[in-house]
Amino acid sequence: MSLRVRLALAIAIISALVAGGISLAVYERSVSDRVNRARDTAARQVRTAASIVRLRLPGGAMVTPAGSYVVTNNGAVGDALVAAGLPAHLRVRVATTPGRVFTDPDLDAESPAVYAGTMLPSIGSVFVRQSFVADEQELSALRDALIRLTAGATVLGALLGVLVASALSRRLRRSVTLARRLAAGDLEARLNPRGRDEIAALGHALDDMAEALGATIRELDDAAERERSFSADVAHELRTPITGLVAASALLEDTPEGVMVKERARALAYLIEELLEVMRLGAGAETALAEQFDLLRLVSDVVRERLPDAQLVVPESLRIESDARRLQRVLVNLLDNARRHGRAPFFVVVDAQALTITVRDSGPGFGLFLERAGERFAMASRTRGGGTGLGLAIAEGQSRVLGGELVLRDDGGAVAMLRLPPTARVVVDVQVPAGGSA
Amino acid sequence: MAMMESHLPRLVFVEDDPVIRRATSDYLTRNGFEVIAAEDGEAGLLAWRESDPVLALLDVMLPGMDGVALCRAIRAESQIPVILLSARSDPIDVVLGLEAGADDYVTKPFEPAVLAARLRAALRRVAPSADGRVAVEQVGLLEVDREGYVVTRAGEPLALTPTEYRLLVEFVDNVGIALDRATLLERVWGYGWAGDTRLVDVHVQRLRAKIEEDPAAPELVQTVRGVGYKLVRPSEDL
Repeated sequence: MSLRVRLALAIAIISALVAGGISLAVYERSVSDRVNRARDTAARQVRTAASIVRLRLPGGAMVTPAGSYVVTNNGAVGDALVAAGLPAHLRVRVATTPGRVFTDPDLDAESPAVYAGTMLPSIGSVFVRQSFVADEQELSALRDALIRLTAGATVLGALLGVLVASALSRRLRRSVTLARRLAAGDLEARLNPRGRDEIAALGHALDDMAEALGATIRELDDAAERERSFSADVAHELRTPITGLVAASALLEDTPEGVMVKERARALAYLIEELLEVMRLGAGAETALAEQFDLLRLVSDVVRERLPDAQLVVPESLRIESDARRLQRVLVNLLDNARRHGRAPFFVVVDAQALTITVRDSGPGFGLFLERAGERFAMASRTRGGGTGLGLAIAEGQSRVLGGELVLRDDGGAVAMLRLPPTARVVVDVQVPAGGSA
Repeated sequence: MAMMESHLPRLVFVEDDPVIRRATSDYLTRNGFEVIAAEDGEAGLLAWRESDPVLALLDVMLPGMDGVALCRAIRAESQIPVILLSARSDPIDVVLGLEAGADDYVTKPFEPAVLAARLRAALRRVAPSADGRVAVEQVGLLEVDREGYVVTRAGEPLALTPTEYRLLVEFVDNVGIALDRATLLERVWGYGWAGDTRLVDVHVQRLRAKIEEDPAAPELVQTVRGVGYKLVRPSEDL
């Protein structure tokens, strides 16, 4: 049950109890007032009647006043209505205690009334009846009014409850929304609550938390940014001496020592270029060009250059719209990886329908490397012997810049599949020259 | 090239780092070039004026007058091939350099052997290609004389760099056919798929500036969206 419903229900019940209780008290007080008044009236009437009865007419004849009922030793006379409703115990109490006036309400009867009676010694008992019907009608009207009041108060209470609860719940919901926005990474989100109640306190606490969180994340970001730019600066600064080293080593004779220095200088230069490329890819600063070219021409040219042993399985022709340079980079790295770590036979398969390029070898596969392939720097750090070990990280990063993805798996050897995005498909056929000369 | 003391191609090489300058100069000297080395832009400009080289090799990042400014200064007076040495992570430098008139660029760190190959490729574009095709081709007001290595527009000779000339010849040989950037990169510059297609775009712009009536609304070298460029023969009634 939501907070809103619970609060509304609670306020409605309290309203009902309070209004009902007050109504009940008012009603009971009203009833007893009216009964007492009726008793007083009845007592007055019975005294009047008794004094008339006591007078007696000359000749000893007894007068029975209108509306009264007189019981003597010789029998009973008078108002039949009084006689019919007279409560038995009133009759007894009057008979046993001469000289006193008794009253007795009988409100449950069909025609409610208050009876009064007294005993005149040596004459008999006199009874009267004071009708309570009019009172009963008024009380009934009062009862209806009070029930309506109680019901109204309950409904009002419920509405009030919904209103209050909605306001509370809305404020709490804003806190929830803030927490969600923070979780989604919007560190600028704040509540700026008004008021001084607990919910406002909660809001202030959330704002403080967001502030602290934002500051921490900004610090981490700054640190990461500093480290990135530091690494980039270092790599950049390394370029000049490395260029000098490569150029100078090229002057060495091809003695065993000379070859060693040349190779190491070249490897170092290559490693630095790859590191810089990984950094650029990691910074997300790379954007792909979109131009049309013949994918098969590219694949067969690159395969001929890097892995001529590979068996090509390709369709007739396939023009795509992508970034040829980046695609070439991905393919070169996949082919180099297969050549270095895999075993023949090699296969390069182009699927024109799925827009995929798959490089498959028959070596030991990626193995353990696959488990950590999702982590970009795991990819970078894992060297499968030879090369810089950055090749697959670069291939993966460039695939993503192309809008595609690189899928690595083991299936009787290492299988690397570059899936191009559907946007690379060229729908309209354009007239182009036949393949290049080289 | 009036006063040639040697038959080797002479180039001006401007580079501020002494090790790169010396080692690269030595390598190129051993591999069939005559190298005039200079350490900054001003010295480079002076060396270029005095030595009348067939090619300029300029580092982009130079103290004082930088490689791009030097390239612009040379291009204002001469059509010799200009190759820039640049850091790959400065793509703005590359575009600025190409727009200043450079024919190609080589990124640092470079293999001296690769650099030498790129220089030779740039020099080959200078040599007239006599491959048995029609010597003189007419496209609109444009006349391309392959044997005389002369391009005229309405009889007026145009000053094209060797790269621009090679690019134009490629278009003339394929009138009406869309050539994609990879093809042009391969045929004009000798690059494979790893070449920078911006070379093509910047050179097409420069070529248009020289051969088109209105370079902003080109009639001869037209863009084929998503593919590349093609040379269109203007219809007679235009």
